[in-house]
Order: sequence, then C-alpha cells, then structure tokens
Amino acid sequence: MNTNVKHHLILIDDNDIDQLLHSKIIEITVPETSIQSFGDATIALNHIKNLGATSNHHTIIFLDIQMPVMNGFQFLEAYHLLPTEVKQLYTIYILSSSVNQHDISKAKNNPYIKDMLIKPLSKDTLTNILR
Amino acid sequence: MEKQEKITILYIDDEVNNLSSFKATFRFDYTILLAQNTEEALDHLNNYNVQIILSDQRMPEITGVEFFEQIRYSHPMTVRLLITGFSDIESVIESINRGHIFRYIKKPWVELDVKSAIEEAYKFYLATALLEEKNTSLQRAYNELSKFAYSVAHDLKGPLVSVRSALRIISDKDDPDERAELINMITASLRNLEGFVDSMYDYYKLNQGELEIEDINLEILAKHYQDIYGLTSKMSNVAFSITTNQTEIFRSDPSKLKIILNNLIENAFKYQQNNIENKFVKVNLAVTSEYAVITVADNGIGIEEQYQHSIFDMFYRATTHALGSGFGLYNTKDAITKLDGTLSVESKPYKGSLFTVKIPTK
Repeated sequence: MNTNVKHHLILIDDNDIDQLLHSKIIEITVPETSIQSFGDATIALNHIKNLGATSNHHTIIFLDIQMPVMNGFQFLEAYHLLPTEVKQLYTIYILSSSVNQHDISKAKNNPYIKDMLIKPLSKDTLTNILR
Repeated sequence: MEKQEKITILYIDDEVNNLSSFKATFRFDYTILLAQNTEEALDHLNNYNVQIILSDQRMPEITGVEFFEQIRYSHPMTVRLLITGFSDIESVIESINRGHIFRYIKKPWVELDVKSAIEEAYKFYLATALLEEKNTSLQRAYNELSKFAYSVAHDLKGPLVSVRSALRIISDKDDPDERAELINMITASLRNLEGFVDSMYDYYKLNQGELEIEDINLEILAKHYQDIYGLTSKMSNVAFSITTNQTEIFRSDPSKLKIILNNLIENAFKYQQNNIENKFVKVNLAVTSEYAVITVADNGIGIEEQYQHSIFDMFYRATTHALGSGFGLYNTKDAITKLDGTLSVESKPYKGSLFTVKIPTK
C-alpha cells in the first residue's frame, strides 16, 4: 500500500466489474490515491454518516445513477440531509453510462454535483480531477 | 348493430309514475336501473357499468343539467340524455353546447324517439369506449417503450463500456495474472450483455403472435434443465434437483413455459447466499386436475417483503447482490399471464424463496 496517500476517493457503483475497472484505472493514473468501493449506496451513506465530521481530509465521490435499492439521485436526497460540516468534506461527481437527457439535466441542476462523467473513465479526466 | 349484452340504462326522475312506465316500456330491450333522486342515481353509477343515463330536467333538489355537470368528470364514459319540456329549451341548448348532454328527448316522450336516441347514444358510447381502450393500451406501450429506451441505453451500453475500459487497462499491464483477471471481467460483461439481449428477444416473442399449443412431457423438460444446470450446479456448489409428477396430459405453449422456467431457475442460482453450507435449488413439475404446478425453491438471499410486489415490474431490481437486468421476472409474469396462469411468491430474507406457478392445460 502506498503510504503517501494524496487523494481519497469513494466509488459507489452496483456493477462490481466497473468498480474493479475504475479502481485499476485510478491505480494506474494516480497511484497515490486511497479508494473505497461500495456496491450499495445505502451502505456508502451509512459510512459517510458514521464518519461524520471527524475526517481530516477531503474525499471525492464517484456516484453511479442507475442502481437498485437506492439509486444515485436517492442517494443525493439523503446526502442533502447531512450536516453542512460533513458535506464540506466531500465533492461528488456522477460517473454513469447514462446519456439520458433527463438524468443529465437533473444531475447538472443538483447543487452537490460538481460534474457529470460518462463511463468509461479516462486517464485524462482523472488527472484533471485529481490534479 | 349486434348486441351481445343488453345496454344498461339508468333513468332518473322524481316522479314514480314516470319511472315505472319507462321501465314497463323498455325492460325487454335494455337493462333498466331506476332512481328517484341523485343519491340513488350515484349509487347505481358506482355499482353498475351504466352506459347511458337519462334524466328528467325538472327535479326538486337539482336540475337534470346540473346533475349531468356533476357526474361529467366522475363518470365520463356514461352518455347523458336529458328529458325535458319545451319551456326549458334555453338551458338545454346551452348545456348541449357545453358538452354536458349528448342529446335531449322531448317530453312527453314517445317510445320511438327514446329508442332512437338510445341507439345513437350507444353507438357513441362504443366508439368512445373503444377509443379509450386503444388509448390505454397505446399509453402502456408508450410507457414501456420509454422505459425500454432508457434501459437499453444503460443495460446494453454498460457492458460495452466496461469491455472498452478493460481493454484500455490491459494495454498498460504486463502481469499475466492481472491480464487474465481483466479478460475474466470482459467475459463476465459480455455474458451480462448476452443475457440482456436474450431477455429482449423473449420480450419480443411474448408480444408476438398466437400461442403454439403442444403436448408437454414434463420428464423431457426436466431432463433438459438437468443437462443445462448440471454443470452450473457443480461449478457454483449449489445442489440442483428437478422432480416431476405427471399423471395426465398437459397441453401448453413450450416456448412460454421455457421462458418461465429459465428465468425462475436462473434467478434461484443467481441470488444465492455467499457463505452458507448446503445451498440448493429445488424444482418440482407436477400435473394434476388439469393444472401444471411448477415450484422453484432455493435457500438464497430471499426478497424483503416491501419489494415482493415490485419484482415483477419492468426493469425493477430489488438488490445489488447480483447484476440483474430487471427484465427476467417481468417476462416471466407476462408469459404466465399469456398462459392464463397464476404466480405466487413466498420469501424471507436470508432464508430463501419459493415461487409457485399454476398453469391450466389448454
């Protein structure tokens, strides 16, 4: 493990293949990144809730849209209810294969969404974000 | 016009004599319901499928036109006919123009006028009812299509994108183990894609054409699944058994039966618990008293009660446990409906699920 962690990242995607692929691309592109993967958005949300405002670093979240149980937008609704000092610690990007206009405009109008990334995740995009 | 069933007509008038003479005149031609006030009329409207309503204009608490205005939105399909004398003609014209009334009948009415008005009203009813039915089915098809387009974008594109990412990474990796891992991911993605395409084809087939009924030999069917799932069972360490009990002839559409069995068995394997001993999938096919009863039981992850009614909806997925398309059980239910069968599910989270399908012989 790299002891020199510069970036912290949370992946929320129910597709375990994509989770692994994204971890690998990140490893290759920005090796000094710590990654936590969640297949279920409810578990990711609990994780963030439990950490609260104790964390001393900023974390980037890559959030998929179409997921069973809790989808990306439902996650954002629940995230909205978290205290501001918790939300300050995170930046959220949508990472989805959706090209659905409705999803895109919904994501763009959400105040917590920094940007919308379309799968596949490219090295350039990653470098730009984690620079 | 050919009449299969008698037209149901509701007649509302505060004068009992009018009511009884109306019924006496028309009871052989139509099913007649009578009401002396609006309360009784509403009761009839809510309890019977009233195609045509006739009302007297002059009643003590409310006029016929006012009553029609009231029911216009609650009972839009019922065709409204007003019975009135010439003195009310102004208000009648206005309400005809505002669309509250289909026609008016002069008072005192003569049998022939009433009959012709009823026949016209019924033709109008049939035309609008037909239109309504078509509209509903069009709306349903349209809703499915937009769900379809949305899901195609996600479920067909998703695996392709994964494959593209994996190939991109492979070119950066030299380690043979890592490359092998990535190739496994590609294979898994392509298998998902293949599964989705198969489901799409099932969906298309289900909505195509007539049933093709044949004698079904359950033992042969069981053998087919034993062959297919024998290997899966060994590889995934899930005991698979399929038993039959057929004492009489069963006739049904084999391709639809296969859609049902494929999906139920596939799901039973897919949604297993990871860390338990003695995993199993048990299928039983039986025919008794002109019904085939199919049961598929497993001790997998089960389905929480709150999701049990939604699992048959198109593209609904209740769990992140495995990558379902949300298509399988929708097709299953559709196939069962087309065979006039029924489906029930009993399930407890982390105990397992039991699907029971009953299909009548054709």
